Amino acid sequence: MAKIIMDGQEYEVSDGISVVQAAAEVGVTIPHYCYHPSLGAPANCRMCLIELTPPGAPGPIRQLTTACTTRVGDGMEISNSAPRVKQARATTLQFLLAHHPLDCPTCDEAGECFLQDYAYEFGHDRSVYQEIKNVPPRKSLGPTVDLFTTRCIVCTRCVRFTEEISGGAEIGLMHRGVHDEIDVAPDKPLDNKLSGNVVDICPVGALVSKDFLYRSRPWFLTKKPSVCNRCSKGCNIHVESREGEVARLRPRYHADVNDFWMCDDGRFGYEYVNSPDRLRLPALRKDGELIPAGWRELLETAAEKIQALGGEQTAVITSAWMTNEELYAVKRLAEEGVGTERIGLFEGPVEDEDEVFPKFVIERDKNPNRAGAELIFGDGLKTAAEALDGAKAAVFFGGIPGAPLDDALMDRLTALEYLLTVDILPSALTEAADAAAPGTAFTEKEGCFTNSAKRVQRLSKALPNLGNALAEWQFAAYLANALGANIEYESAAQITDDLASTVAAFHGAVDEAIDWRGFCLEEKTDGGEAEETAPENWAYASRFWR
Amino acid sequence: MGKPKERRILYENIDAPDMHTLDVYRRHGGYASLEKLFDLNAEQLLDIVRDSGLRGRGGAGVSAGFKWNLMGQGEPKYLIANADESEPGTFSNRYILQHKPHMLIEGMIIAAWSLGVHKAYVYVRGEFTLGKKRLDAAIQEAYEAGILGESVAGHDFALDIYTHAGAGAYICGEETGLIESLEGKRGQPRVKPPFFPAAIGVFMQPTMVHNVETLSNLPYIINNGTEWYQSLGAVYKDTPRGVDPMNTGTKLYCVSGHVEKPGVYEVEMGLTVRELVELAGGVRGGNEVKAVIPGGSSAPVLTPYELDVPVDFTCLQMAKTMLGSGGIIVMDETTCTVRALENLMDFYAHESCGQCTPCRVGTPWTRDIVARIEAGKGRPGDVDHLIEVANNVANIDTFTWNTICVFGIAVSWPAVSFARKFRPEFEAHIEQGKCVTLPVSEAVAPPEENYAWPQELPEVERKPTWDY
Repeated sequence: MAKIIMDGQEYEVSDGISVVQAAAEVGVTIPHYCYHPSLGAPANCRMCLIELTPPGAPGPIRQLTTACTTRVGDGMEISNSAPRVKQARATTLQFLLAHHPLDCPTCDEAGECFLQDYAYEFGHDRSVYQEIKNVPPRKSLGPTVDLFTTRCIVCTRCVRFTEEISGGAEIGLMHRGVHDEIDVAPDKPLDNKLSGNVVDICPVGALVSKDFLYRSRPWFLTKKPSVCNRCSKGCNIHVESREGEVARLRPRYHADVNDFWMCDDGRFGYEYVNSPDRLRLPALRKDGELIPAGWRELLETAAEKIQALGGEQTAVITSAWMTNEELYAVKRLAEEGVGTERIGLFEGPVEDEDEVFPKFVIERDKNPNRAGAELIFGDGLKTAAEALDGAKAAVFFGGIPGAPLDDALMDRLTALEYLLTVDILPSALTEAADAAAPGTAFTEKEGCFTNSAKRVQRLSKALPNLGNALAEWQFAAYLANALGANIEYESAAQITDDLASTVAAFHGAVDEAIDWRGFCLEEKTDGGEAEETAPENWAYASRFWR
Repeated sequence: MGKPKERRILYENIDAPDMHTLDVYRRHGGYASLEKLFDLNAEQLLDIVRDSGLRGRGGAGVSAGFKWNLMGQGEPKYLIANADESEPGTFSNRYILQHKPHMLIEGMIIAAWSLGVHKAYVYVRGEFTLGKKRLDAAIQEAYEAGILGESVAGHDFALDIYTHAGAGAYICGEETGLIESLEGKRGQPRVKPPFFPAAIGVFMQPTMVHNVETLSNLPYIINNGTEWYQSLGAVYKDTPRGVDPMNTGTKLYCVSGHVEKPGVYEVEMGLTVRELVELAGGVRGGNEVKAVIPGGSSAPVLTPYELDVPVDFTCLQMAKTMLGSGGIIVMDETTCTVRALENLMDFYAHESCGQCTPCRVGTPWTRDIVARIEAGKGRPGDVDHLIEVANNVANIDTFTWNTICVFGIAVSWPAVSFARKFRPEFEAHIEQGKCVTLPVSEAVAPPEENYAWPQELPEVERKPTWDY
């Protein structure tokens, strides 16, 4: 720890971090645009100027210093509010706003724009610029991102992102001086799986997501922390929704999982959640067609059928897209309700290799909770096809949009005498079903995923269940009880605690122990004590990451 | 005591036919320093350079010995000769490249031996096609003669010199911008700290960057000794804190503008602006001097009231301007100072690299204001507005700048000094709504309000006598 004095007050901060980060640690904002902890400090925006007195110096140094390039040192004195600091920041804003258009009313960034916020907090209340403004054209940088060039403040965060994190170096700085423009080469658009991140790091409304453009004012969005379900990495995200629909997904900082980033598969892969075709009502097949029915009717007929065909002959297929809590409830359904050892895992695609970028990895396993399923079910877990082989009935938890239903699986499903599905969208699976129950998408779930590094991470319920849909854990409990078991759960949190006390691998992972940084089931053992870790940016993220 | 006159040391025999070839250079005493050089070790050489008082000729005027002392310890180390001479009004390095390139090579060998450098670069301004051709040929000759390469002049010391042509950007004359450009990147200056070239320079290694003229002084210092070098130029006593009193040696003054005989004049430091103008044949047609830029276009301008300032590092610094690169631009009574400033600002607006906010936006902004005034569209208050905007980029009064590099100064200082010192002419433009060139006596603001000069000169310890 280092002792620093900021504006006359003494603070203890972590060693070796920048003054911007140190100030964030103690709850002070030092405004900045170009600096980003994961993208370095080019010190080009000149917004974070502070008055610095080095340890032991008789007085502040003549020049103002950039807080982003200055590392804290014991005994360092910083003024964040000296008149000349305030003046320097105000004039920097004056320069930044000279060519910036006043199109806040139609700008996507309005409300979460650092230019607005800092102009409000540190800027002048009027413009003295009387000359002609630069008006470079709006342009498309690639399939996902547009650039409103007029709004750009040339902080070069996006340039550095494509150089350092995604590695393609698609975005560059063209021209010189006041004619500086962010652009891509004519034959090489910004088209990689991390492209969406440049929109997040843009401190102003210059880079916008084509997906989100003009969709909602940010202040109408409800923001819930969650976990991405597109691969086994488990990127931390925020689900931002409006009026029951997902408006966008954005990465949430996690030092050990995804840093500040997420991939476009996850970011733009939410459309199915908003699909008008989503299943809303339980349905039973009558005369070849699925006709909406009540839950009681569905549960009673299902229990009747399963009992008639025999529990051992019934397969329970669970899904690698379900939360730990749902999986555990299904496990109890299989063991206590149905009484079968035919338990199979239905899963999404697994690719041959991870997609590796210089500082980000998209994992090959496109299932968010395979690790959870394997830990909860242990060795008894079969593949879906194995479990269905020779079965007469099945309870099939799907919930994986676009999942591969190969012929072998379909043949076995159609051979069944009774098939009950729990799914979110109509598919070949529901076509084959005798009864179809509506389930929940990940944005509607409560509970946790366990990522490939055995970190249990929490999802929050960002959206209400659609129609009459039941959470899968609830449905599993109801069905088990209809089959004579006695499972009493009132919330997902109860299951979390139950899971922690009964499955050894989850020991300690009680509801209270899982915070927004997750809970590690296995402490990292490789590397040992000498392993150097990059400084963590939790304080920075909570202050500056939107 | 005689009148100031030229004393050619660097420029000695520069006009001799084929001086750019090795044979002719050697015949005139070239490469003589190499015979002494290898008997001296690094500490001795550092002492020699420090004692000589040699100051960097590129602009900042930092003591060369001080800079050598800061050189980092990592290997490899690099030496760069900055031949990206692009300051308006400066053209002395060009003649060295064109007519005496071996002098630069000799100076580079001395610096390289002293600093333990085995790879050196010359970053040549792209427009210097003849200079680069001659330098390349000279380096080739030096390799063939065994002066460069595996063993320099037969000694156990390897040195390779590479030339690199710039692509026409002014900012690549800034040492860290030059380094970025040399590495093949956009020529944008680096942030200091931490990127002081002596510690972290080209390819992230310790690097010494010197101007061509600075390096060219080294052979003569080695040949003739520090005492001889100290005897040239002016040295002052009791200068204020932060003002280096040493102005030893000669300076290549590039006199241009409204003088009868523009050109490069090599004179011992210590003569005044007035004397230098006289040396260049006086103002054309016997006209009155209106303004003199003393150190390349980024130096604050001097008025007729300030012509008795000695043109050396110390006194110009005390007059709140600078010797810079030694480009003296003389403007006579026919000059419109607003138009002159517009011309300068246009240059800087074009050359700002655009990296940091105040310079990227502030530079064209000041240009636009000046252009508006010159076009007769000035508004009341524009002069103060201009001064404020320029001071927000870099403040001449507090000697601070909000920019990454000192380009901010290069924009702000001329703008503020022109606007303050020639305020009546600026105001006349605004009042009359057109370009008006006032007579000198009316155009210049009275000194007591706005300038640091005239003020008491620092006490002279030694000055040239010009008794030759």
